[in-house]
Amino acid sequence: MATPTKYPTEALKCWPKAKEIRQQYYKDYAEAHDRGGIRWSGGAWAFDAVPMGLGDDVHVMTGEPYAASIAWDRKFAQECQDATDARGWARDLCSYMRIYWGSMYLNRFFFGGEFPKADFYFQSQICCSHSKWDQEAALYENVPYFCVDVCVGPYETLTEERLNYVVNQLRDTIEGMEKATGRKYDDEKLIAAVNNECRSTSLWAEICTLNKAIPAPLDEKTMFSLYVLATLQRSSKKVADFYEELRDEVKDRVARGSSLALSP
Amino acid sequence: MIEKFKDWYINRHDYAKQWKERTGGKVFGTFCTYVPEEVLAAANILPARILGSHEPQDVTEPHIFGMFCPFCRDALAQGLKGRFNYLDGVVLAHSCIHFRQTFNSWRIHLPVEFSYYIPMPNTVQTPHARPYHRSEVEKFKTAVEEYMGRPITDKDLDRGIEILNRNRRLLRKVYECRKLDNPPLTGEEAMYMAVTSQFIDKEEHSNVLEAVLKELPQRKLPRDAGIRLMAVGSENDDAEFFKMVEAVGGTVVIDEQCAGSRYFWNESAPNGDRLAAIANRYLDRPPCPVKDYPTHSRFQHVLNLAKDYRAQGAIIMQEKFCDPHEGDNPRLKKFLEENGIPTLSLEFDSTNPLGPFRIRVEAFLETIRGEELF
Repeated sequence: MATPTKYPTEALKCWPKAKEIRQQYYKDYAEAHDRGGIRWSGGAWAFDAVPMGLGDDVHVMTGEPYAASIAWDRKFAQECQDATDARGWARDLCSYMRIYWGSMYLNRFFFGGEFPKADFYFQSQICCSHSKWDQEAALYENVPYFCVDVCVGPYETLTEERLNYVVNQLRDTIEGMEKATGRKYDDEKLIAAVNNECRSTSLWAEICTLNKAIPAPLDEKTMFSLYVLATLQRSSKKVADFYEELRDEVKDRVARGSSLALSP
Repeated sequence: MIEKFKDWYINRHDYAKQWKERTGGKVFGTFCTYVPEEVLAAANILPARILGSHEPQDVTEPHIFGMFCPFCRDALAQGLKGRFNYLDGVVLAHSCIHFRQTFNSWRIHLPVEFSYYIPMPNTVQTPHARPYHRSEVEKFKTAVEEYMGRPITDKDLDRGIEILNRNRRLLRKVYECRKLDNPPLTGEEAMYMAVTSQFIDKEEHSNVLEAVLKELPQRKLPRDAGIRLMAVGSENDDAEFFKMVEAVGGTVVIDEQCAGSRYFWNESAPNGDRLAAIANRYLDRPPCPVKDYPTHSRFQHVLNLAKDYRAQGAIIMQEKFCDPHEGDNPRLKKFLEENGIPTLSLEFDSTNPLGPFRIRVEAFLETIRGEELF
């Protein structure tokens, strides 16, 4: 029996594109070295625009969404956590971190093949677990670890000294990345990436604001699925362009009074 | 004299209240051992570290999560139970996320005249942390001056630095005595000495330390030292645990924890720029794991201590849910064992299962002695 609906519903037209971007993201990361590209891993809250100055073939895999993908597969998630337990790590540590480490220790990539070793780890120290996560991963894989301390207090108390503390660390990180990869850093690529990051985040904010409408054009599950693209690589043109397309579609739904985007 | 430290430890709140009455001074609760106490000493403020009581409690659940470390919950419980109701101010120098949330909860539910958050750098290894932290210490000094209504002069800062440094030097001298074949004090006694320096008036504390240092050469304990042990951990003022370990054939001869040596190990080195000297002291001290990036610089320090004090084994006292320490401990254990220091890991809560711990410690000591069971 069909579920009665109060408002007209329809599938999101750009949904298949969101899925394609996500699938291509993990594929690109796994295959980056085959094409002479660079891989880096870190947290979803790292300054992901910064490594983009190393070239157009720089691919990232952020740890939290990767672990969340694994969590969908209970058996593999358990195997990953067991592998982490076996190395003596505490059971009460962040499960995303434990799953990521487990996949690395087992040398099994969730999307097939061996675990793709990063060329370096890059992280902002937003929490204690994130900092230890990549410290351990970089040690295990024997690659450089660039961690940027963002302990500068709340935004409203930002001062020149506090800002410069972060900026100076980022400058050092760029030098370290150049050394680790043997590449010359391109400021223009950084500027383009920062522009994309600003587009992605502001477009997503705009989409969230559109969701104030009644009926809401997006449901919570769909929003989580779409938001994840910003945690994968918000500085990429592909993600920013996608959010523009999504914003236009959501705007149109609001104008037409169409509600919940039911995922296919 | 040495019993004085235990007495202070047990009656810390009475001491602080009496200190206020006696001096008319202000008392600030300090969250974590990274608060630059030199500035407080310069302003004649008594820093009193917020510690737990190792009692079961049920008052923090509405305020911070159950998966926050037991120390955070125990510390906040003391505030919520009114045990720190004499505080005039609270200060946190950023350490871990759990303690920051604890501090925020404290500020909301236990308002005081002065509260201050110092965004202490977490990557102490970067050279950029130095000018940055100096500027933060300066801001903190200004805030204290405004609160106290008078300037903190260079002379005041020199006095504050010397008060702290003197206490650190004396504690290092006491710890030196623990290198002897038969240390004249137990690990439990040393723990009381170190941890009380975090809430007793430093000058008073130092005076008693000096008197104790005169007594120590003649002091003989009516017990064999047994196996020499090192305690590695965080905020582990678990007196009952130390007592138990030292009742089953071991002596804790050195520690590497913030309730102990990490707190006082290095001094501020005055170099003309007093604020830089203070700031650098906290960046250069043996780091808490939450500050030790990008490399594990702490590991070598732990091993050096173990060797200097001829520890035959180490006990890692891992506070449950403490991400920074949990994120170090397996590699630290491996590092110590590869360097000839057998290591036992135990998971601690606010209250601890001393019976099971006793069995594990006894078994650990047996393996160190190489005893044949059959």
